[in-house]
Amino acid sequence: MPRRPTTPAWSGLVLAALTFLVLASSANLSASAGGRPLRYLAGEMGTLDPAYIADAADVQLLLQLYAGLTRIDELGSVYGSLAEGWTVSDDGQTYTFRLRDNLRFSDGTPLTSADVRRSWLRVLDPATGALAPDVLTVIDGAAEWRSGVGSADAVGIEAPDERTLIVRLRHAASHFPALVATPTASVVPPTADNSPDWQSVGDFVGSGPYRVDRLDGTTLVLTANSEYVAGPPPIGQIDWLAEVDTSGPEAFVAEEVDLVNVFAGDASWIAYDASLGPYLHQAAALTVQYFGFDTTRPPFDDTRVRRAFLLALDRPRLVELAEGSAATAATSLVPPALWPDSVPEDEAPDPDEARRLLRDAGYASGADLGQITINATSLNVAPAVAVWREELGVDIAIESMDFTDFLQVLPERPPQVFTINWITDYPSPYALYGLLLLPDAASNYGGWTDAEFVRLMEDAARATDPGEQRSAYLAVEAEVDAQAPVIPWSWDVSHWLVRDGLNGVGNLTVGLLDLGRVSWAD
Amino acid sequence: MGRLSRVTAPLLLGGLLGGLLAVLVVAPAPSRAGGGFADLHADATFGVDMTFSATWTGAPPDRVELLLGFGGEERLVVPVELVSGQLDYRRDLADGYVPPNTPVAYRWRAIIGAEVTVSPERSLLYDDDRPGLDWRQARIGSATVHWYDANETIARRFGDLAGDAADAAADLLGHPLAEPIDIFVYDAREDFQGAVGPGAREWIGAAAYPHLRTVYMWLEAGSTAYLDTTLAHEVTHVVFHDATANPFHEPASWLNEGVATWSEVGNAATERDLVSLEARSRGGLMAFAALTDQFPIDARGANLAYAQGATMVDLIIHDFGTDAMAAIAEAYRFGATDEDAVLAGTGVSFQALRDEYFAAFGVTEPDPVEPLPLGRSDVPIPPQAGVEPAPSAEPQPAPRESQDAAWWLIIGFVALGVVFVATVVVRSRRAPRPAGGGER
Repeated sequence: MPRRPTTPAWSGLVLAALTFLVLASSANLSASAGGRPLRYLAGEMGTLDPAYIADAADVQLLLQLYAGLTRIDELGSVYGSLAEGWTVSDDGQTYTFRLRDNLRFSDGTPLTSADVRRSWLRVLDPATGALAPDVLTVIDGAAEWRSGVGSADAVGIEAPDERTLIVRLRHAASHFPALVATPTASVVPPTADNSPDWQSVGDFVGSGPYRVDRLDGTTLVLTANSEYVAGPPPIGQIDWLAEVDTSGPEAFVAEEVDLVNVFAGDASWIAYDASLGPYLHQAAALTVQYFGFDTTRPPFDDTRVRRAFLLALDRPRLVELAEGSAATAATSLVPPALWPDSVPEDEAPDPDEARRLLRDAGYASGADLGQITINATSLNVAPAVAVWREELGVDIAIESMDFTDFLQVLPERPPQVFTINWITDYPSPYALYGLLLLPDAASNYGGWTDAEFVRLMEDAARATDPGEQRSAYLAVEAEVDAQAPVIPWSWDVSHWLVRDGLNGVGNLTVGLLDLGRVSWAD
Repeated sequence: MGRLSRVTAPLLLGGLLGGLLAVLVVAPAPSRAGGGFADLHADATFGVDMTFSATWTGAPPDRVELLLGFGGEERLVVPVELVSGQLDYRRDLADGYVPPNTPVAYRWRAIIGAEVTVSPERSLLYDDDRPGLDWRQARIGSATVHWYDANETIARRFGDLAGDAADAAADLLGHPLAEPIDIFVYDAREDFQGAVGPGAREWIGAAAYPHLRTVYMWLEAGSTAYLDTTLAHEVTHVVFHDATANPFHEPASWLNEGVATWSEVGNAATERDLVSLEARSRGGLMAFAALTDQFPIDARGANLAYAQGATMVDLIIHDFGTDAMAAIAEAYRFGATDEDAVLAGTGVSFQALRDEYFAAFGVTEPDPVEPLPLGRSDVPIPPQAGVEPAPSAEPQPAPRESQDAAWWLIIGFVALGVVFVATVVVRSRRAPRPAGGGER
């Protein structure tokens, strides 16, 4: 029988130390996967499918649940997420992305370049009925497939091996790396099909920093995705609150929430409140509110009529009156944060010229236009309507719709004048001009087509130098001003209450809040 | 992604005449497309739902819509599916609060190609028809008072007081009450809270919806004197609404509430005491920029907001007379900003007026509170390769996991030392020790 060796004096020491380190190691794991949850008053959950993102709330949620080739950091810079890098061909039309090694979906399934291709083609597939396929129609052959003359095979996306994705574009687009950060272009698991219930709360598989764990009452509970490309996020659990019993500020005071977007009306007093004021932060949101015209039907198929409506408005004065500190008058569809230097100057209001243009268009007075219907679903139209009535003599009826009804009507039968509150898809002027006004854009609700605009947009997309980009987009802006398919109205300012010690929320830009990069200081 | 953003303000929904089944049957509407609406019917239950129905004769339209108005000129358009010539629409009022006494205008619209057919517009009144509320009413001057149970006496007194309050407010603001008002007198707290809606603060004892020209009173809110002054406050809000109505800008809350509070007793003596106390010994006063929209949520802040509004109005009246108030109201009607309205009324800038106000209380106007800094993310960006992009140039802190691991390693080694020392100590304890020896 072997003898049991005599235990040396240091052996207990080593055992204890090893035991401690094992415990410490497991404590470390639980600290990164658990700890203090973040309670975010986000509003009601919408879709879990990136193909059906309908509004800013959807963007905010799906950004936590899915990853794309690139991602936007908390200051708005693009970085490689699933892609460790990429190269661009000399003509700027071919991007070759190199994916990171050993990528996985949240259920452990390997994630390869074929999944990226499949995800993008799914968005482009007319059978999917995606809400924003036009985000990807800069890819060669994509628009043709969507219009029924091409095929999926002809779309310029190749996955020659598991870590390489080659994308051919219709034209050079220096904003493409930013574009693929948009959640619509994120990567969905192989189970994704065109059925409405392939993804569910109870059986969620994603690729982002968080995965859906459960629905606790009205609160969606997100837990850290241990397979996330950047590793599990520091905060182990996000409580995605749909509602609270009181107001957002009251819930913050009661410590029921840690992060909440507050109305400008509340922000005005919170800014001076000694106890709440330190937690109030302001961000120039990447949003624009604008009037759009149905340019396919009289009278707004006539540029002179649209210009008349534009020139009648003293937008700086009217927006100040209507929105107060909640917004500033917009001089462009593109929010200031996306104009590297300064925003374009506004055209001075000129009611006399507006009336002259109406006469030139064959309308002796505004009354000759017939009754104009304005849909006010997305903004307060009363000030503009008052001016159009007063200055142009137009007979106007004001209508609105529930948001879901409005979404349905816009592409099918847009009102003569409609109102939109738009959140930028990705940080580039192209995201506004292109997705709202290019002829094949799904959200070009007014049906505006302008060959010069298309040419100028291609020039702008090609530009890589910042100065060259600015000049190009100023030319685009000038064309939009001259043709007036839309009237930019205001740029929002958003206000947030942020619990002390929450790091990484950056500039709190709406639509770009990546909670995977957020941590508690303690 | 990104896309459209929902409008954040809740949509006010309408309802129909409470308790009474409002049934309207109209002749078929004239049709330009070979079809027409008939059998228009509407019904509602307070706080539950409202329903609309009609029949359509003729070829199926491309689209049928119900247009609903809730007291303003804007119409909410609701698509409704035509099923075998029948149109039915139900609005769940749990999705949106509607104040009682809201007039609801409705009409149907059918679209066939370029042809549009509409029914005549009908108007209904959404009333509070909850069981047990046996409403009676009486017209007293420019007010119609509504009460139930044994509250007729006080309701009638409210009618008299409302007339007095409206006259006083009209004198102050240089603008008459534009149309009659309704006053609903509630007995029980639950009844009152149900009427004023879920958004109302629990402590309020009365409320006015000026655009509906309606005031809601709760009899158990306080003493008779309190109720009387509160009624004057709410009626003044309606007159203020009339006197400043414009499509451009909502006047500052401090002015609206200040005028209403000042009008409770025709001065601001009580409020001045409160403001003086706050200025001297408590948390200080608030900037008027903080009082332009919503008031603070805490009781102290809310009370101070009302008091500052009233004392500012008192200052204007004292220095510039009631004509100044009328001129301010008139400026709003023509689309002035808050600053321009004050200037138009007093001839001095709002800044100068505020300086005088705060000086009178021995303080200066506060500045906004500096926000706490927002920390940069301490989550490392994964290593990049290739020609683009240029990730943040700022130096990144060590990854959290690495930091944590290093920390635990240090603890581990410290623990290792502790265990080593403990082992030595234990062994030494077991060793023979000299008598009388010991260690701590």
